[in-house]
Amino acid sequence: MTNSSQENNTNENNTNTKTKAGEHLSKIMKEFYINQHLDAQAGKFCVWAAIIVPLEILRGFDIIVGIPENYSAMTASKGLGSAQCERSHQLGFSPDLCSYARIDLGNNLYPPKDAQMPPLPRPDLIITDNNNCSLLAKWFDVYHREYNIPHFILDVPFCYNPQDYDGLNYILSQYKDIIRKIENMTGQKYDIDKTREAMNNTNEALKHWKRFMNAALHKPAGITAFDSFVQMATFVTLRGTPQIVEQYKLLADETEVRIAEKIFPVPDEKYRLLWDNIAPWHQLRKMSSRLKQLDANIVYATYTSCLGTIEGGIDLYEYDGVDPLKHLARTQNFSVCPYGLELRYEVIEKLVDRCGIDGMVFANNKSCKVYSLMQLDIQKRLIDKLKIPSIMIDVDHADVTRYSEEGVFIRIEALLEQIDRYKNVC
Amino acid sequence: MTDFTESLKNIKNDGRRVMGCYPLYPPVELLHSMGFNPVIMWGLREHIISLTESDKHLQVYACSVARYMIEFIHLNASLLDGIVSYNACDTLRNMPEIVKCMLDGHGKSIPSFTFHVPAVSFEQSAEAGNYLGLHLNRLISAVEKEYHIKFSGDKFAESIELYRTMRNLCREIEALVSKGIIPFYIFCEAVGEGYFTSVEKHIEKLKSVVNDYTSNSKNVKNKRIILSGILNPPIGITKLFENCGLTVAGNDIAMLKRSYAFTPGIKDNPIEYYCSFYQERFPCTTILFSSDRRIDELKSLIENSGADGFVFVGEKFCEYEYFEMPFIEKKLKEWGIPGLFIEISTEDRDNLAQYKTRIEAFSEIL
Ligand code: SF4
Ligand code: SF4
Repeated sequence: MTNSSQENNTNENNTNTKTKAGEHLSKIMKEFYINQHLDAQAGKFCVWAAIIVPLEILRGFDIIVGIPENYSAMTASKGLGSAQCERSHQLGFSPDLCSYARIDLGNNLYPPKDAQMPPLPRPDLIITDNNNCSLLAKWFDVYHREYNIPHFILDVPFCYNPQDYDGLNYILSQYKDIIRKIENMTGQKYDIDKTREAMNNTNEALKHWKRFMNAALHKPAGITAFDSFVQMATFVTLRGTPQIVEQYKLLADETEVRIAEKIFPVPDEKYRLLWDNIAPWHQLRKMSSRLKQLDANIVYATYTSCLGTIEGGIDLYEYDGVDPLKHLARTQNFSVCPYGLELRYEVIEKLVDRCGIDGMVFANNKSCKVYSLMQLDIQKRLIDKLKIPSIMIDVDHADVTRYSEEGVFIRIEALLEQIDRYKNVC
Repeated sequence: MTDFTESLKNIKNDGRRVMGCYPLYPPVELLHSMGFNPVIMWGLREHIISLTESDKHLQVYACSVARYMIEFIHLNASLLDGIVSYNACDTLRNMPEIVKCMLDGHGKSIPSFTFHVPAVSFEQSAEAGNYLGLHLNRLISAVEKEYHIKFSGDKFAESIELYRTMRNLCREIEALVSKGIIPFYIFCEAVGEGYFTSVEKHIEKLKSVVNDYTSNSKNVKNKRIILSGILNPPIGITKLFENCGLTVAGNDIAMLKRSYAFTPGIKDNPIEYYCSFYQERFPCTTILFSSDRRIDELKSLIENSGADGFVFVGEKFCEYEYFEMPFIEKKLKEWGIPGLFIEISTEDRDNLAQYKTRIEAFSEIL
């Protein structure tokens, strides 16, 4: 099995050959999926977890962990997303649902006979959370009913302000419930030392991640946001493992060398843009190469800036090595959707400043309402306060039928003209 | 049709503060006991003509509940003394700050209170009850501080009794609707208006509906349906059911049964009351852990009411309802109950003709 990077990898050098980090990513993801199936054949207990469920806790057990959202993103990046969406519609699921969910329901409940990608191993337990969205819990509940297996929902309070002490303790108490649940179902004893080790790995990996992301600060930027989208897949699947440390170290080192050698993805970079929403998985290569032709680079994205942070932050919230569960609870809201408009605006303001952003691209994504609903007010504030030009484009992260390349590029070109005007005036 | 702005003015003329509440199940008893008249801001589709202000803040793929609610707040900001919300759904949890931006843009401000209702059962996560308690205590303190008032257990107990009476009356009328004695649209109107008036006046209204119709003991032989969804269907659609000879034998609508089916037996402790209120209530797609129970409730609703068919009138863009539909459809087939699935969008208010043929065809197969 291949991974998204093989089809759509933007991590290529100027001669269009794959980077070492790109190759390594493909290798570890391939191994990850093959091992899952081998472990399942050997009868290992399998958990399907939502991407924000702290995998470091699950590493305290000897179990398989499947991540359906990642699998959906991969399906979309291989150009198979819309077909799987269609199959879920045939099962009666609404076309207005999130495309990750539709792809996944199509993948698992109505797989095509000639499936290029075999479905994830069948789960024994499902663990979701409601801080990215509760839609996820409803989606995974379908499997709870279909497969007649338990569904643990991690209830995380939405943050209008940074998480408080009581919120943290509430999350911690539920981590303990998850541990008890898996212990009871598997008969295994939870090993906190494995979680400790996993937390150390994650922390180490995230330091390299931030080093990699800092390449975007260079002018011209050493990376595009599309590189970060591709590389993020490892975080959501291999959090806590030594492989992710190796991957992100290789990635950051290689990126720094490329900058030293003056190899840049958009060498004549004239426009530095910021992206707000999930990656357009079906457009990674196309969109980045068309932008390159326009000397434009989406250098950073709120979607990938958030790894390792806390609400409203863009810097790494470092693990102090003391209590891994407490640290995980404190960083439970790292992804963008679990917090409100004020905190999200804070992130954007910091990124605009730090990355020297000229313009912003808000991807209006009907599939992910939690990411999109506040964008109109954030956009207005961005213009009022920072005088940063921006556009709103319609993009579904995984369903290409809801995307018009020409329509989007007309708007992007208009944004670039607007940036030129701003630059001339200022 | 009742003018809801007039209703709010009447409440204020009666000397009560108006607390605008986000749907679906806010703590109305608590707010009432603290001297407010809670109004739950849903069921507005037929009361608001344009969504000009809403469109500046919300994309068209937000559900109609959110879009009309923001417009309602805009139109009635000067009549609202406060706004209370909880994390009822993904859309609603994002709304308090969007509403604040909207109000800021007009130089207005309304005190706003949010609290968290655990989306999990206490059986799964025992700490969830304590966390809800903590949030309710914070809500009470914040309201006390903002308005210089004090919570009273005795008043809370009185408010519970009023709401219990109101909900019992709703159930009484539901039974009369099921017998074909009261038209379903009259019921919907009476319950819908209640969200924008005082509970005391609502009780009077419901009593008058009962009195107006109890002498009417017609024994109709219509086909019987269960209605499901979030909002009461538009009046035009409810009338279509009746015109097609369909009696609403029961419902699983969030604005109706899911709201009035249950009042906890607890007397005066708000924490215990709301722990029971949110944990043991009639199942709802938004109460995440109640999905399994919902199937059982639907089954007994169908069996006990002798329903011949099931009609789902869904809100476009409400994922909560969408995810359960294929499973319910499968179950209906197993139970031998025909189903009709209608989806109403924000724009559908004046465009109901398209549903007529489908409802007629459905009534013929029953
Ligand atoms: S709605 Fe958004 S946050 Fe939720 S599962 Fe879909 S993409 Fe993820
Ligand atoms: S209709 Fe659905 S999405 Fe809209 S407010 Fe109600 S529960 Fe939320």
